[in-house]
Amino acid sequence: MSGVSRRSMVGLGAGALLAGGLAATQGGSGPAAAGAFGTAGDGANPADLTYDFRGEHQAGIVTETQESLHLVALDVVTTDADALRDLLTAWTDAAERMTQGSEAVAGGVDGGGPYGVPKDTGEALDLAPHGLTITIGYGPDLFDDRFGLADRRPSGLRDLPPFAGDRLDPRRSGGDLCIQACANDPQVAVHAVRNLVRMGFGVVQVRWSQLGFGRTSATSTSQPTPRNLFGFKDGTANLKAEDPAALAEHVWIDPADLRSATARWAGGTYQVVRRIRMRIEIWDRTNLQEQELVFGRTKREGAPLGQAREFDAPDFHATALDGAAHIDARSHVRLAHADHLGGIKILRRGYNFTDGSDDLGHLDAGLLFIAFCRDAHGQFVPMQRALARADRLNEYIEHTGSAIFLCPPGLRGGEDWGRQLFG
Amino acid sequence: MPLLPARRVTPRRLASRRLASRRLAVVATATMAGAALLSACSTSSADPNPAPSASGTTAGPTQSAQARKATSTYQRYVKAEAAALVTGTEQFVAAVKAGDTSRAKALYPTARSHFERIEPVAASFGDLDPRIDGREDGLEEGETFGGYHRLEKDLWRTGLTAESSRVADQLLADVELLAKEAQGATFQPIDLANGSKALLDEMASGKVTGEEERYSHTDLYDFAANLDGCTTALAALTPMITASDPTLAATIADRQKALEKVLAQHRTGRDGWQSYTALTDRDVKELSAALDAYSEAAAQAAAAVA
Repeated sequence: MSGVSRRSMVGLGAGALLAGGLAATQGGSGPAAAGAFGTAGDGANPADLTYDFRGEHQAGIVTETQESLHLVALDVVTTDADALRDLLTAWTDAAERMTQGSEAVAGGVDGGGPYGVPKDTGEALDLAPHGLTITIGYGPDLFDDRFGLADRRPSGLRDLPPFAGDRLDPRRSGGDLCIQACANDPQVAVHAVRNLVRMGFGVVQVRWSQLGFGRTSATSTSQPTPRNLFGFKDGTANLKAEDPAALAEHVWIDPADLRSATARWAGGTYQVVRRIRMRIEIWDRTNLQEQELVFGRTKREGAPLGQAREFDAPDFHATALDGAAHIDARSHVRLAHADHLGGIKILRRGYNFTDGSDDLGHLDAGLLFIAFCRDAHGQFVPMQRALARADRLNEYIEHTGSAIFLCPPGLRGGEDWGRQLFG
Repeated sequence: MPLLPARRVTPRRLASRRLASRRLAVVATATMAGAALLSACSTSSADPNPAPSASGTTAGPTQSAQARKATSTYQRYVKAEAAALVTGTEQFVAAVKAGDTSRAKALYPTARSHFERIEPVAASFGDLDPRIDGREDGLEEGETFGGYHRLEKDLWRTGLTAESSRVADQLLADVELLAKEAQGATFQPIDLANGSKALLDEMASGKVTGEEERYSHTDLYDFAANLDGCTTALAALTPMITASDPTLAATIADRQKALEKVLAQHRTGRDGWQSYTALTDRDVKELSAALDAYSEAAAQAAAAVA
C-alpha cells in the first residue's frame, strides 16, 4: 500500500487513499478468506472497490466474481532459479500495488525522467482499482528438474488426463505459471497482466492468454447467477464464499493432504482452466425444447425442469404425465450434479469470451471455464469424465485449451511469492 | 514522432513513415537533411530524443572524453559499413545487370547486411532509406517500387528484366549517396542508444516475423546485421552505461550473449544463416523471447547515457 494511488495522481486525492487504507484494515480481520469481501470506502463508489492482497488465501478465488478477466499462462525461459525468484518477488510488489490502485512501480509512469522508459504503461492511470485481484498459479512443469523444486511439487499437481472429445490446441494449453487478473473494468485487468508480463522479459514468455468479458459464475450469495453465451444460467449450485466449511472441504488444500516437503501449500488450491469453444450458430438455431433438455433447466428462470425457481433443488426422479423424467439422464445439470458424483463439488469461476470471428464468419466464442478445487484429480477429473462421456451439451461445444495450476496460499505481511516458492 | 524534425515532405517521405519513425537522429554536415535538423533542434528543447547539433555550427552539448570515445568509435563503424555497402552493392548490381540470377541471389543477403547494420543512420538522410530498402506495401499510389526489395522480388519471384537493370543502377547511385552522407555524420551518445533501440524495434517488427524478406527468406541475415549494429553501438556506450548503472550494463551484456547464443543455432557455414522458412514455430518463439529480453534492457540505455 505504499506509493501514490492512481486516482490521487489525477487530483482525486485523499478519498482514494482512504479507501485503500480501509481495505487494508478491514480485510485483515475478514472472515474465512481475506480478499473475499472487498470495500469501496465510505464513498461507496463501486469503482473504488479494493480487495486485500494479503491474507490466508489468495484473492481472486472466492472473491465475488468480477466482470472482466485477463488470464495469462507463461513459460519460464531461463534456467536461472535466482532470476525466477527475483521476478516472483518483484511481481508480488507490483501486484500488491496495482490491486490497491497504484502504479506497478512507484513513479512508474513518468518518474524516470524524459529519457527513461516508463516502468508503468499508464493506461490505468486515471482508473480506480475496480476490485482488481491478481492470483498466481504454478503448473506441473515448474517442478521439473530446472529449478530444484521437484520435491516441492504436491502430488495433486499433475497434468489432467485426456478426455473423450478433447480438441486441445497446445498453443492454448499448459504453462509453467499462470496469472489471473480480474476486475470490474477490463482495462484495469489488462493493464495488470501487461505490466507483469513486461517485468518478466528474459525470465518468462507468454504461452497463451485469454480475455474474458463477462462472468459466468457467482461466488457469493449476493451475486445473481449470470448466463453463459448459450443464454443459460449454469452453476447455480456453485460453492459460495459465505460457506467456509464447504470451501474447506472442497476448495482449500488441507495440511492433511500434503507430505511434509509440500506443507507450504496448505491453504492453496488447484486451478483448472479449460477453453471451451461454443458452436454458437448451431445452438442459436436449436429450438427451445432441445436447449432446455440439454441443460436440464428452463431458459428464462433457470429452474431445474419440473421445478419453478432457479434455486429449487432438482428432482431427478420426477416424471411428467407421460412417464418420462423431467430432467434427462444426459442433461448437463444432472451429470454435473453432486448427487451423481459422490458428493463432488467444485468452485466455478469462469468467464464468457469471444476472440472475434473465425474464417467462416462464425463467432469464436465460448466459456473460459475456471474451477478451483482441493483435489483436481479427485473432483474435476471425475466430473469432466462423466460430462465428456454423456453430456448432451457436447454436441454444441468443444474443449480447445486446458491447464492446471497450483495456486499457493495467500501471503502474510512481509512474505512474497519468490520466498514462498523457493524459501 | 517527437524525434522527427520537420523537413521536406515528399510523397515518398510520407510513404516511408513507418521506417522514418525508426530513424536515428543524425546530423551530417552540409547535407540535405542537415538544415532541417538544425531548425528542429532549436524548436524542441524538451524533446526526449533531441536531434544532435551539427558539429561546428550551433552549440551542441560538450562531450566528455568518454562520450567522445564512444561516438568516434561508432562513427568509424558507420563509415566502414557504408563503404562496405558500396562495394557489396557494386558486385550485386553487376550480377543483376549481367543477368546472373544465381550469383545475384547469393550476393543479395550479404550486400544488404551492411545497410541493415547502420539502417537508423541511413534513415536520417532524406528518403534514402525507403529508396534503398522500401517494401512494396510501403508505396503510395503512383510511386514506383525500387531498391533492394524490388530486386529481391525480381530475383526470386518475377525474374530479371530490362527494368531490373535500371532499378539496379538507381540502387547503386542511392547507396553511393548514402555512403557520402555517412562520411560526414556526427553523433551524440544518446543517438547511439536511440539507434540501437531502433534496430531492435526493426528486428521485432520485421525480421523475427519473416516480413522483411518475403521472397528470399533471408531474414536472419538482416536479423544478425541489425543485432551487430545494435551491439556495436551499445558496446561503444558500455563505459558510460557502467558508470551510471552497472547493473544495467551487466544485464545488457548477459542478454546480448543469450540472444547471440540462440541466433547461433541457425548459422549455416561460416557466415550464412538458415532460411526463415526453415525455422519452426518454436525456433521463432525462442528467438523472440531472447530478443524481447535484450530489448527490454537495451531500451534503458538512453536514460543511462543522457
